[in-house]
Amino acid sequence: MRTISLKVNGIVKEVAVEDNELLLNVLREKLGVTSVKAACWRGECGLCTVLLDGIPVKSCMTLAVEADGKEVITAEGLYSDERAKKLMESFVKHGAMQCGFCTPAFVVTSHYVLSKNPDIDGEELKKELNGVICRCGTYYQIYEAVKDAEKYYKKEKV
Amino acid sequence: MTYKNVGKEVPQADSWLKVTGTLKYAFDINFPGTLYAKLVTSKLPHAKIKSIDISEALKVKGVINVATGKDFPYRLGLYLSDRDVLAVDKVRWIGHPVAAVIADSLEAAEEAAEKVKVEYEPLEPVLTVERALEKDAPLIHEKLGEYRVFPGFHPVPGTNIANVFELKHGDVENALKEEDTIIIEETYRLPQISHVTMETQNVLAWWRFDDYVEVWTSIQSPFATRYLMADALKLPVNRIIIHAPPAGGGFGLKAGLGWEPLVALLSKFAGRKPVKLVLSRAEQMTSAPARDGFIAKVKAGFKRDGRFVAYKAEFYLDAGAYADYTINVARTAGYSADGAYDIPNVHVTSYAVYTNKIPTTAMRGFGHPENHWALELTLDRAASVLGIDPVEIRRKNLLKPGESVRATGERVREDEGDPQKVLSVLAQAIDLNHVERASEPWKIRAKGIALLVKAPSQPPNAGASAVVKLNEDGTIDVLTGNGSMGQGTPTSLAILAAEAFGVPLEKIKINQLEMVSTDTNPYTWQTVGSRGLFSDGIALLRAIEDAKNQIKETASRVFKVPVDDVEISEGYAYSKTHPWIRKEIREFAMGYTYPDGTTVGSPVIGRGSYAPILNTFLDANGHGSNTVFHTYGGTGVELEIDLLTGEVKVLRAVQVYDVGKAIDPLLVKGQMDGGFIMGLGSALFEQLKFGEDGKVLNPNLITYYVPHFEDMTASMESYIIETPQKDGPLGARGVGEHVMVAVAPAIANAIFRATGVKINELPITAEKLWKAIKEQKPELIDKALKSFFEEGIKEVEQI
Amino acid sequence: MSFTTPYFTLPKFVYFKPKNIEEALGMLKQHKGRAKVMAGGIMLVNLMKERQIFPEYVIDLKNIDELKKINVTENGIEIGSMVTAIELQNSKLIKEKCPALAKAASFMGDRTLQHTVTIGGNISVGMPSTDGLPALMSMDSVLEVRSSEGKRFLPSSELVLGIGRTSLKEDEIITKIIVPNDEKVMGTYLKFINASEVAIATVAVTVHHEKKKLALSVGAIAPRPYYFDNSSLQWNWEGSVAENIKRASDVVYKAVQPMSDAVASAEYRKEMSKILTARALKEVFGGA
Repeated sequence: MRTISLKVNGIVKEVAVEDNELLLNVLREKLGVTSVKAACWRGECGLCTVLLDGIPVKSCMTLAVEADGKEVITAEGLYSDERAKKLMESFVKHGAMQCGFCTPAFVVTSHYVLSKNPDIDGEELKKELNGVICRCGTYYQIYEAVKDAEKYYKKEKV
Repeated sequence: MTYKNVGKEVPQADSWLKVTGTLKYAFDINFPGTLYAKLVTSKLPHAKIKSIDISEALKVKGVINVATGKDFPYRLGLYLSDRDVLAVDKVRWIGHPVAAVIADSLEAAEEAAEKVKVEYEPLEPVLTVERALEKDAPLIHEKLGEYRVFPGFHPVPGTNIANVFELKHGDVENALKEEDTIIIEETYRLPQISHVTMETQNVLAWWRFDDYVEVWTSIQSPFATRYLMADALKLPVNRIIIHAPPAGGGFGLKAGLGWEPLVALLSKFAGRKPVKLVLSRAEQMTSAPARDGFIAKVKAGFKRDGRFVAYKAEFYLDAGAYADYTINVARTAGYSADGAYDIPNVHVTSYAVYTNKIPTTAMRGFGHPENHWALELTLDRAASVLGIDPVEIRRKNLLKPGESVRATGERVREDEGDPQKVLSVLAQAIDLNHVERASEPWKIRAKGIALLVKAPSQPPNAGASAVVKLNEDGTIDVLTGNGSMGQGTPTSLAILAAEAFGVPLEKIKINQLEMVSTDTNPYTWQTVGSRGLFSDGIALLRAIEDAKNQIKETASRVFKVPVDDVEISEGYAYSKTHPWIRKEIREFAMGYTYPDGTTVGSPVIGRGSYAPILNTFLDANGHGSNTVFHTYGGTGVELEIDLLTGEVKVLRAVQVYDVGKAIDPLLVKGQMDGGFIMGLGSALFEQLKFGEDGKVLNPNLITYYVPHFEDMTASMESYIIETPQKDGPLGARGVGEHVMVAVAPAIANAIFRATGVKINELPITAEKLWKAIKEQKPELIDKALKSFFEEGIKEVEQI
Repeated sequence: MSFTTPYFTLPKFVYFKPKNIEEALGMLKQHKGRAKVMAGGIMLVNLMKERQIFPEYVIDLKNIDELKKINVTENGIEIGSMVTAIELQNSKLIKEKCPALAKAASFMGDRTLQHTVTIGGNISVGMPSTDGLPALMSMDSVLEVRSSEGKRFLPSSELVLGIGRTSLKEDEIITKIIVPNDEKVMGTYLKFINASEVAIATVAVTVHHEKKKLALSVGAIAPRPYYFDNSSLQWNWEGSVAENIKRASDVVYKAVQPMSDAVASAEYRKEMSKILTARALKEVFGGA
């Protein structure tokens, strides 16, 4: 058991973890952060994606101790980011969700993608989002939602 | 009729919770002190359990208890009680839960699960339908005759046949014998596929100290589950409280009865502490049910002019180890085998057959992906033999609303929808006979279509009910039993409520967006079969009518006018004859109170309910009336086949559905597009693969491949047709499942039409198609290779 | 690797995060046979979840900066083993000098995982469908392998012995990949997948126009990638490209003896090796 320090959605948390504990389980079970989901537990579906120091990682494949001293952001933590909020609004407007279980992962991933490159080419965008699975098949709507939100990230850049 | 809310593109009401990840699914619900359960599963497909040694498991620190089948001697099932809670006496498939560990941490539960030792005496496994039906095949359910069976089903004790259903209409044998009848004879197959709901099945249960059992679960059927659990555990129905938060996908997997009885019993077994079971993806794909495997032996007769005169089919559903829900899938595939066509002579026999493989259950489409795979391919094969266009052969044989009679003897209602219009819109959009050149000389461009019709498959008494409450400020709370799993029905119900009450949508709160609880929500049978908007919608409209009548009653006293002079609109109650006499409806919410405190009326609470009262069970010939509405639709595809690899790339998809009335076109289109994607997966990728011992070889999302972002087609067009259903809520009918049914047949038909290559079994993987082309049309590959190596490379040199 | 994970938790282990190579190598020596090295960690975590391995110690290399560098030295281009798949794709140098590797990196798991996956981790898992290895083989690269005893250089073609088996000893770490630093290098990497994320066949090609040197590697079809060069492909630099490509494809077709598994049959893999070889060569020579 060791104590690690995580800044989760803006709040610094000290939490005691075992070396073999996964970031996903610590976030959900110990810190009650259920805005990160999981569906395959082996890095295939992308639903457990969080931003770790700004980089998307799959939290079911990440040891909690690896994240010591780092910042974790999940979808709910993005609500306070004005651009991300517009991105979320675009998801809502385009009906880019059905059951919604994958939606936080798509929000987190597409926020990262647009922050990095708001002029992203359509085919490249599909590739960037290919690591998250939506079984309801809302890919068309998500694509439109993300494309539509590019403008907010461009503004920020200028 | 112009509407204020209906027909507008409205996002799902819980969208903001979804984008922030703060919507609470069953997966997210936990109490401090909850114990964890872990399954121990069978490593053999068919074996007697000689002994189970739990002593080592109990020694693991943190383990509370380990339960085995003997601890829970209950039989479970919806249509057929062929399921045990944990394996009793024998195991029936690799993955069959044999024991369950309860511990205070997941880690301890997982460690202990590995330490449970089970000793088996292997029995001969029955791994194919063919073997299961042989006279000397071992019995998978020796006590089939003792199981509880729902009316209208026919298991055959002493065999591996869990159900047999027969549909007879006209005289098939004679029609097939007629000299001028042209026969198409084929065998079609579908593999077992997995629902892959993103939220795996999970249950939190607490057997309380007052002997109430409270369960939070990811489920489509809280009420059916409550009843079936009570029945199995011999408890009064209201001692069980099922909470169903929104499900992270359902697709039929979460219909009927799931893991709730097991986890509830584990809670009791662990000293009445709350216990949670979450299935891993691997457990979900090996220990929980999949969609049935399917074999169809079809003999179809056509006249030269394209008339479809006879359809003889035998369906065999590989139900796996438990056929509980699948017996109704088999029955449904049987009675709706004639699809959207008027076929005068039909004889279908549909069997659900036990094998020692993963059990099966309902899945989106419920028998229709199965029977339409056979029917819609047969039509294109016939079209090819007869030299008729695929559109024309369908046009000639489509059911005629108000005239035709289905093979079940049901007359096709006049307001059932417009199949001809569906076909016309589809034909125009896809333009079958105009096929562009492929992008490369070694590729072939192809177009194909398929149609479908489907009704909810439900018992004749599948009811629904609704309650509406008017609040002090004029906002309205709506309660139905219809659950939320992404299909969007609760949002559509809210729109219906706003429209019917004549208030803005923002005033409506629909409670099941957070949770359906059996002790607070009104009853509905299940959230399945695309029945929600129709059944719960009608109940809701009746509840609103009731509430409005209560308001009118009070208003008439306050206005001092007759009740039938009071009308409600735009949030006001007013007198029709003296329209200046009006008051906001909120003033009547808790009864109307005069300035002196005198109150007339009382709080407004409307109730409404619905049952498909004219429905019956089907008789021995499969005749009767067991449907409430049918939805017609069709899919068209344009695709490219790479002859060098056998890869199929769908470039363009067209979906056309007659939904009666699109209450929320945004959600209807979402279903059409999403259903296409799921259909695409089943057409090109998905298949549970079995080892020689019946073990699932690909219980993961790497080698069981579901569509990803990059698989979306470049173009997706969805067309909504609105031919109102007179008794539907504002004319609407359901469409949630239908949207995936015609996709695979359209793709197979496109391939056949362009190449002449027959693919009778899904999925159409690159290797399968490549081998089929090599076998059936090797010249196509030879030509492709020639152009690839000669023309193709010459082009390269010129660059 | 079974791809089957019924478990949510990992077996117990002690986690180390050394700051430099020497420290890491020391730990490996101290706990020889009981420790596993963690690079990106994807494969390691999955194998632990599958209960296929039970290391007592996990030595995470993510803190070792010297393994994350790409340098040009007199030996050639030196790629640290902890360079991630994203970094490989974004590196101008790698794109220019190691095009097959840059392309292969774009297939190492999905885009999210590519932030985590490292080249060293990718090749040392020893899976037939590993993307990095065919690319490295087509570039005739050499691996710098270190242990506390010293270092050795291992041709990339000699790394994998069989499925999940490599020639790395228990106390060894791949520290660098050394690629010849040539001008005018062309190359590509093609991956053929269908109805599964596991590849049916992969082909990497690297061509040095000035040196008149061509090497091609076919992966995913057998436990170890196949390697072909100018002479085994009977490449004739004076002859027509079309004939060369046809001949090379035939050579590959005749030479390979693929495996059958749940992903594809041997027959199909053989045919696809031919098609993919031709496509890869067409892509490279088409762009020349």
